[in-house]
Amino acid sequence: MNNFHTTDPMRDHVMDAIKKGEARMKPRWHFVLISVSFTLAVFVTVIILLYAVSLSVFLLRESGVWYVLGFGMQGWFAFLRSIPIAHVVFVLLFVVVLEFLMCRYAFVYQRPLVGSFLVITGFVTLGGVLIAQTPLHHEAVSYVRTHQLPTPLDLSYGFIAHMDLPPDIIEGVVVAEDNVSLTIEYDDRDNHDRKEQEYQVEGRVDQQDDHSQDVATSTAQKQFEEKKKQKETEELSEKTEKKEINSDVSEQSEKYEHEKKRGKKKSRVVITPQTKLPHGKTFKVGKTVIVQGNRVATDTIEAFGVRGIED
Amino acid sequence: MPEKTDEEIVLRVQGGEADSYGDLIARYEAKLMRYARKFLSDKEDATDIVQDIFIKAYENIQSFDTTRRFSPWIYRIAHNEFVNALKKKASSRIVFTIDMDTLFPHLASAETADSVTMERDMRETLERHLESVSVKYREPLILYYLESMDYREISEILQIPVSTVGVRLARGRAALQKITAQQPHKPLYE
Repeated sequence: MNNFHTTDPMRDHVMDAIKKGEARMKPRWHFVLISVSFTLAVFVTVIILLYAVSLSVFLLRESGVWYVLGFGMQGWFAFLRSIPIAHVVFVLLFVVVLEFLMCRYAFVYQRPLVGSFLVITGFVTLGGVLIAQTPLHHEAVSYVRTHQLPTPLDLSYGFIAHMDLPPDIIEGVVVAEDNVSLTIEYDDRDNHDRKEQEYQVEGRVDQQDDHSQDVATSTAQKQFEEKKKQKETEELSEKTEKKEINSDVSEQSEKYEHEKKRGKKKSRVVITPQTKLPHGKTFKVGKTVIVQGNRVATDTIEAFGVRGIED
Repeated sequence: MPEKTDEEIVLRVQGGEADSYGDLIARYEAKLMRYARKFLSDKEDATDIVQDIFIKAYENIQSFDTTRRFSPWIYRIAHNEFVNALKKKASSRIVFTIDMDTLFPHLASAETADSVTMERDMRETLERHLESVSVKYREPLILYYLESMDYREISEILQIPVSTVGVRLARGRAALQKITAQQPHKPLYE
C-alpha cells in the first residue's frame, strides 16, 4: 500500500542511496556467470567422479578380484579388502564437494541430505561401472606403456603393473578338466624365474581311483611337452617385441617386464558341492578362470568359487 | 485499478524503473522490522539491518526469477543478514554446522492446520517467551506463527528440507511449553 503523505525514513534512506548510486543493481550477466560457473563446477565434478569410479572398477576387473563377487560372502570380503582405499577416500571427498555444489538447488536442499547423497553415490557408481566396460581405460593402459602421462594418470595406470590378487584368489588358464576338478596354469607370484617344471596332479578327492591318477599323470606329461613348445614361441616373440621398442620408451616398458619374467605354475582346483559356480560347471581348456579357495596341499586348491572371465 | 503484485513490481525495477522499488519497501518494511525485532534483541540493530536488507535486495534484484514468489526471496536475504549480525556479536555463540535434522527424513512432521485458538495461544506465548527459545527453533516459529508462512516457504527461506521445518516447529513448541510450565502464570498485560 503506497502512502506518499507520511514520512518513511527507511524508504527515503534506501531510495536516496539508490539515486545517489551508493546502491547499484548488479547486472544480469553477473548472475548468469555465477550460475554458469556453478553448473560447470558440477559438471566437472561429475566427470571426475565418473572417471575415478570407472578407473577403480577397471583396476578391480583387471586384477580379477571383481569376478569373485559371485562367490558369496567370502568373495565379497575378498573384494572389499582389495578396493584401493585411496580411491575410496578420493571418491567420497568429491561426492561431498558435489553435494555442497548441488545444495544451491531447491530440489536438493528441500530433501534430506542422505537422500541426495545416496542418489549421487548410486549415479556415479552405475556410471563408473558402465564406463569401465568401454575401451577407454584399456587404451589408456596401452598408451601409458609407451608414453609419459601426467604423474597422477601415470601412477594410476602404472598401478596395474604392480597389482596382485589376494593370496586366496588365482587367475589362470584351464589346461585340463575332469568331473571334480580343473588343472589351471597361472603366474607364479613367488618365483620370478622361468620354470619348466610341472607339478603332478594329486588330489584329495575321495572319488579318485588309481586309474584316474595314471590318466592324470599321462595327461600332465603331454601338457608339459606342449608347454615347452609354447614357452619357446613366447621367448621368440618376446625378443621381436623388444627390438621394436625404442630406447626412449624402453624405460617405460621395462617396468612391466617383471610380469613376463614370472614363472608359470600349475595347480589342481577341486570343485566340491559347496563350490560356487556362477557361470556353470563347464570350463573348456584354454579358458581363463578366477578361482578363490584354500590351498590344501602344495598344488591343490579347494575352491569355494570358480568362474570364467569374459574377454 | 488492481494492485500490482510484488513480482510485477520487481519486473518493473529490473527493467530500469528504480522508483517502483519504493513500493516494495513500503510493503515489506513493517514485516521485516517485526521479523528482525523477534529474531534480534536490539531494536537499533534491527533498523540498520532491515535497511541493509533492502539495499542488498536491490543490488541483487536481477537474480530474482519473477516466475517465483518474491516474499521467500527477500526473507532469505533477511535470514542471511540476521545470521551474519548474530555472528558478529561477541556474546553470540551461533555456530552453524551440518545439522543432523537435515540429514535424514522425518515422517511425523507433516504440516497440519492448527485451530484458530491454538494459533492465537501460540502467538501470545511467542510474544512472551520467544527470546528464551534457541535461535535454531526461534526462526521457524516466527515465520510460521507470526509471518504466516507455510512449510515450503520456510524451507525456501532457511534452505532446509521441508520435513525438517516440521521437526523444528515441533521442537520449538515443545521448548515453549517447557518454558511456560516452569514459569508462574502471568497475565499478558501487566
